Amino acid sequence: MIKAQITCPSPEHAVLELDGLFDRNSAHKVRRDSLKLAQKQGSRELEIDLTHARCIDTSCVAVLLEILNTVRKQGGRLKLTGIDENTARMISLSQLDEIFEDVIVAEKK
Amino acid sequence: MPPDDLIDVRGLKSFYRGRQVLFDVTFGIPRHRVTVIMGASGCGKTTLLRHLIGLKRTGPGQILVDGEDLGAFSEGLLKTYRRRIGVLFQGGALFNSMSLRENIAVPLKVHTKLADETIRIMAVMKLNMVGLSDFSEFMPSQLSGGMRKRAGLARALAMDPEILFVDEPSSGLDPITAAGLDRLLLDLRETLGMTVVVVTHELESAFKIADRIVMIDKGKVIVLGDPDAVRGCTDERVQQFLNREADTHQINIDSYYESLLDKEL
Repeated sequence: MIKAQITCPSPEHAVLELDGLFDRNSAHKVRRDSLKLAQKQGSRELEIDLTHARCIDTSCVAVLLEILNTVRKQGGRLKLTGIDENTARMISLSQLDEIFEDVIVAEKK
Repeated sequence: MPPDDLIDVRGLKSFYRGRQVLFDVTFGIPRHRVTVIMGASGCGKTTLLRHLIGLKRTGPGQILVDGEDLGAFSEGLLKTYRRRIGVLFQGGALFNSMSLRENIAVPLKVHTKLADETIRIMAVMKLNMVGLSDFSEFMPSQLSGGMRKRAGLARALAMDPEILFVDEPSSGLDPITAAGLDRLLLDLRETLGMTVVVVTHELESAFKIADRIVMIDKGKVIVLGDPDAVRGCTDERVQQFLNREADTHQINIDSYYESLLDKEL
């Protein structure tokens, strides 16, 4: 179960805050909400806040990669905040560290 | 059952064509750890694995998963259990009519609601973990035995299983690839908290990855413990295996004579 809440601190910046378990059962919902928001944001900044989310399998890495790809295609910028150590290790296990290097901006949980 | 044991095997006996192959096998598989089941060829390792994954129903004895008797699972519970596990069989067990990527996508398509693109990415990620991302569109028949085995492991990992069972992961692999697979199994334990059960007779690999070793000889557990405990075990059969000493082949002359002449004495 995961909850997704959207806020817009400024016209240039939208935040999708995730709360709950981000796994293969909820990944399709996160994907749908994120891609919709990414399309809407266009060339502006999209932040995904994972402070209250727990990623427990590789589906979350795959979805984050899809979101990153969509945002970049539109000339926008993706920011991932609140990434915990385990998610960072999953990204590393998937050998995607370099791809996400400039995207993960906040301190690790 | 100790609180950290996910699976508890108690007094398991197993028979094949009237012949007993496992004798009162008892041990625990700790959660989030690598357990290696080790022993010579034909000692009963693979039979034990088939019991652990629910392919062979338990006879006398029990296998408890989270304290529940696997032998008493209904078909529904068995299905749920199988969704929690990933299995790498000795031959890889891939679908020959599908590319590697499609092979790995199968469990994700069947058991999840993930979008096709997410599944595609996950499949290639898993192939990358085993060093085969450049071969995602290849068919199994176009690969070597070792590559098929690695692809089989990628498919076993498709669902990020809670428990991963691997049968002889290093057989047929060159030393560098085998070492890479050992590293991957340890990474999976660390990163995804996977409980890993490896069946092998490869000593070097076993001691590198195991948190717990179960050594089997002629269907019986002869030593159980961490790698240091196994190394320090003074049992003659354990030392013979560790020192790779040839078996002094003792025959039962009566049964040998009987089998030669195909008649009873």
